Amino acid sequence: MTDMALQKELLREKITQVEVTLANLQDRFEMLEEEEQHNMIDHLEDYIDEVHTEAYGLKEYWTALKTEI
Amino acid sequence: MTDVLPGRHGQTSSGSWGQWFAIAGLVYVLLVAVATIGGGFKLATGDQARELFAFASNPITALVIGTIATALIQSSSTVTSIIVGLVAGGLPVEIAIPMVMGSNIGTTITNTIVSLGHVRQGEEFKRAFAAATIHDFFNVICVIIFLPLEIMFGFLQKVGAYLASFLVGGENVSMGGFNFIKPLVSPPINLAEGTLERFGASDVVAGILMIFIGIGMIFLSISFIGRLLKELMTGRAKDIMHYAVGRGPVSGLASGTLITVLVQSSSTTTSLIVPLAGSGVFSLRQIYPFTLGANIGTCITALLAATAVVGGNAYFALQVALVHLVYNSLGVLVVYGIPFLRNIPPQLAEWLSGLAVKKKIYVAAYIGTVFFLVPSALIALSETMGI
Repeated sequence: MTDMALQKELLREKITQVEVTLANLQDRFEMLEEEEQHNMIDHLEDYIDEVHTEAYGLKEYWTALKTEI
Repeated sequence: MTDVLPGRHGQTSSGSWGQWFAIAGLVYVLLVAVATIGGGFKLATGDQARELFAFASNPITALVIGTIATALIQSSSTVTSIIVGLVAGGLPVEIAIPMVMGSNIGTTITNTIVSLGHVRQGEEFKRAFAAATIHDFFNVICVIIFLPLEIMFGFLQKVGAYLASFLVGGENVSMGGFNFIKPLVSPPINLAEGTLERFGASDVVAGILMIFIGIGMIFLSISFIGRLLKELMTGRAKDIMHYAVGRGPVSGLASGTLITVLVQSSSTTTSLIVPLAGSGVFSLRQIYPFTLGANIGTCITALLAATAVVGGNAYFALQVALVHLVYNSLGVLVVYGIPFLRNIPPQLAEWLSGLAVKKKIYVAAYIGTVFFLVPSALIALSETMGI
């Protein structure tokens, strides 16, 4: 095997390793993300009580707008 | 990261029987209300109700009426049920269709306003506002695509008619021709008619009163059904959302649809995602299909309302309710199904939220433009062009 071919083979192996590591990291990230989402869904009753807060939203906006202007 | 708290799964099964009976009673009130509107028109106009709506021939005006009415009432289910009642009373289907499209736009104002509660939170507001306005942009794009096609070809009207012909038997919605709604909704309507006549009201006055009473009953029944179901269905909604996590857009869409059917309110579903997205735990792309599911799930109320319509216009009432379902399903298929179109709502929502977080005045400018300026300009333009 020539030097060039050997270098190519080594690089290919490294790329494969990096790809595997990346895939593992991606999987771990997705697992963490999903766990965080499940945790938030467990508190859904807290958020569902906030769904009809239009008056509060308008009041907050008006205060922020006045400050900005 | 938040600690895992035990979920409240199974809350639904332990829900009070009294609340379920109340919901059943309120559904009955909704059915009677829709039939009352139809009966009111019949009483007030004889069989000339269609002539009463002859002035309403501009689809753009109908679109704007649907948008503004829903933005003011903040419930697309209520407005579409009222539209079904109006069709039962003689409103032409070709005018009811743009109204239904408008109600889709009008309903988006609710979660946009809810997202303003995060206005002082910087990045959180940016995410929450984008999560709210993605629904707006999606529904506006649907109207831009489908309304001109509907005006030119009437394809939704034809599809609705085709589907309705399968479901309508006899003079109202029934299964295999057996009329099971009329005996249920007729007694209170006859009672109302009789009472108003005993008080000396003429047919016209009694009819008009019945129309207003019907609209009020729809508003109240849907409002109370929504409140009760929200309380009873939180546990079930959690189960559905847990199941959808990490399963891709189709599950997101299905869970949005199911939760909206369970709580009978698209505003509840679309407002629910505002804090979820605002926290950053759910990305804009993840909540996008969930929001679209709300569009499909909300169609159940109008379909339910259509089953209450008796008489010659029962077919048209069902037709318009089916058009609502077909339109919202097609919207998802076309706009979400085509990658180029799919990316437009999130891109616009992210762009607008970027502006809104820098200068709050853009929020007012946006709401003013979408819900007031553009509708007024459209009406003026359509009148000029003689549409």
